[in-house]
Amino acid sequence: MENIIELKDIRKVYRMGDEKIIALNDISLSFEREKIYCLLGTSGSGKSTLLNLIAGLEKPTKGEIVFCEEHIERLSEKQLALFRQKHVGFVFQSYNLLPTLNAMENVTLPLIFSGAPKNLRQKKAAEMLKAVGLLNRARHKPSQMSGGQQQRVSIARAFINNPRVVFADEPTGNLDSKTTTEMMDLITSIAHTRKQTLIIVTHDMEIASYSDEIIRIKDGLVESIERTKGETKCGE
Amino acid sequence: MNNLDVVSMCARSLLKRKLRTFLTVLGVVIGVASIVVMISLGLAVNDRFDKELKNMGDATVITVYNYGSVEMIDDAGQGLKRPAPVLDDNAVANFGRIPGVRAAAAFQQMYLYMKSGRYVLPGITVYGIDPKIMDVFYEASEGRLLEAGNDRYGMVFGINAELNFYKKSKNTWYSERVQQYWMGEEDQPRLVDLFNSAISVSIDSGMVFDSSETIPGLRPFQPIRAECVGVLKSYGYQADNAIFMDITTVRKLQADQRKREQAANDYYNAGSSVGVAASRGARQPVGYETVQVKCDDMKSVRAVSKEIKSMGFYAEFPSESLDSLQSMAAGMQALLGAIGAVSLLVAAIGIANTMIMSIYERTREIGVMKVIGAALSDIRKLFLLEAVMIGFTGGVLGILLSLFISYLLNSSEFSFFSVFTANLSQESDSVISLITPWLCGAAAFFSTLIGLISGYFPARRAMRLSAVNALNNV
Repeated sequence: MENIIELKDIRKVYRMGDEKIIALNDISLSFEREKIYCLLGTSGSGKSTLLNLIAGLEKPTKGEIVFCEEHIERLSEKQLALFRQKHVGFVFQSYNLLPTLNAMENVTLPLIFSGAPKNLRQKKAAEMLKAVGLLNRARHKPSQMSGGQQQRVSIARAFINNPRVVFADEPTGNLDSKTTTEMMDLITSIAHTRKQTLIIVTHDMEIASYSDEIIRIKDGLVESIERTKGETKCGE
Repeated sequence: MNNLDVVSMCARSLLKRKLRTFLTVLGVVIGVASIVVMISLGLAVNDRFDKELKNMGDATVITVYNYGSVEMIDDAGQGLKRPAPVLDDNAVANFGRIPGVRAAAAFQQMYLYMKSGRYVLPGITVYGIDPKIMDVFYEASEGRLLEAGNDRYGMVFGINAELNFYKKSKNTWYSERVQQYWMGEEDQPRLVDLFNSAISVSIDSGMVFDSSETIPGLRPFQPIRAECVGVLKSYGYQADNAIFMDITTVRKLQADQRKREQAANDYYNAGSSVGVAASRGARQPVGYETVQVKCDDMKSVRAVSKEIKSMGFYAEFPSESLDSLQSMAAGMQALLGAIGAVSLLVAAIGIANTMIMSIYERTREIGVMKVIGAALSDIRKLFLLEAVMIGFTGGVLGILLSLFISYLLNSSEFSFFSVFTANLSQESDSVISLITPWLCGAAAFFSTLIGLISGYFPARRAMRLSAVNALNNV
């Protein structure tokens, strides 16, 4: 299958005063279409940095990131915004819904930014809310919903633009175990049915088991890549 | 992101923080209202100056008097150094040659009594003017102006002169119509059919009051039968309440009057040597009483007046007396305006502060918007528009507040404020505070602009926030 994302010799160095911290040390990875990946690692391993780089939120110190045949490390801030609008969806640990908007409006937000007409937005948002089972809560504000419900809204928001890749950063970190299972079933089934690539960042092995491929990150290096269907191959 | 969505998102975020938005808007309201009210006081003063000028007559006309100019009093304040130059035909011709002068005309002024049927006019100022150049100074609203050689006893009435006629009776000593006119009822009916009535004119009050004294050996004055040929447009208080006749006629009447006064003096002072000597000294004065000089435009008035004064004459023009008052009022207005400007500046700082606070508070929100695809310009638009909305709303409410304050000031005539605004005129329509549509428009525009300026840097700051840092900020 063709690769949707390719990383070549990615290095990310942070400066903390005089000290240099190497967050990622020459990582090369590739992600295939329509698969579910998990970046697994403890906190400080560099997995979140890796996610930020792939999503175009940060720039690598060195190396190449080819995302849908585009070198995103070369894009300007302005182009990156447009790129994210078109190709990337996000699910956050703390949901990050806008408190002034209701569920429906939060879901439509990416479409609002892309300037889609209102009736199209409403139609798509209704579809997405139905898919996450929250159509009856469309007019509720985030403060009137439970954590699980807020995360469903956030999932609907991530998928509404029909992006190539959806990133989920500790999507269940704030949820109880029952809701966690529900949420993981929901997010993976939507990704499957819509044929989208999903990249999940977590430290939880339980969550990682939902993925097709687990990429273990440790101290800024890829420790191993294992296929959950039994096969395991060693990292570089 | 389309504009309607930007507006709706801004409105929501402002409404969410109601108290803070209200307080910030209140700051703008106070700033705008104070500056608008201050300016309105100034506009009212200017408006009053304009009206006053109009009452004083044609602003391009300089009046030259036959007494010497003020400059001719010496340092010790002792009399004239040299006699006032004579205001004769020669002087009139000289004035006419000054650059910027269209024409100069001699005026003679006297007081005459009139009667038409049952109606009397016991005393009105009559100006003698050269009919040849009357059209330079005046225009008729009815009938025509005086014609040279044709109007020996023709009269042109000032626009309100007819009001001074009243029906003669035992208890009436003045024209009620004049009184009502000044009370604000400007449409007074005419009593005398000016163009179809014979009007008797006399230098002697006896014609009106039936109490003529007779001096032995002097034939009583035979009233002249004059006719009205026209009515002028409005040319200020003096001209509006006067009548114009041919200057030759007026000079003849003046000579006759002088002769009679002298005869009366001689009669009453017979036996007193002082009186006789005094009356003998009264000779026919040379030259005219006043000369009016019409200038090409307002700009040349001052220079022409200076030129005439340097010839040794005393000259006046309508706006002259207002000049010092006007500069005083302008100084006061500048001070008031500065106070208003300071409060508006404070309001602008308030907006900037609110926006910066709002950005700190919503850092995370900004990060989320950036991550899910908001363009940089969208972020800037959102925050800029919030500031603009605060400015605009504050501006509109501020205008409403100042209209209300203006209404209060005008309705209750605070004497306190008239000190500030140099209350000149006693007219009933004079106001203390004048808010024009132009002022409202400017206030709304500037308050919006202030919102834009004070929102600019906070909005740029929001735009430049790093998405990752913003997201990690808890």
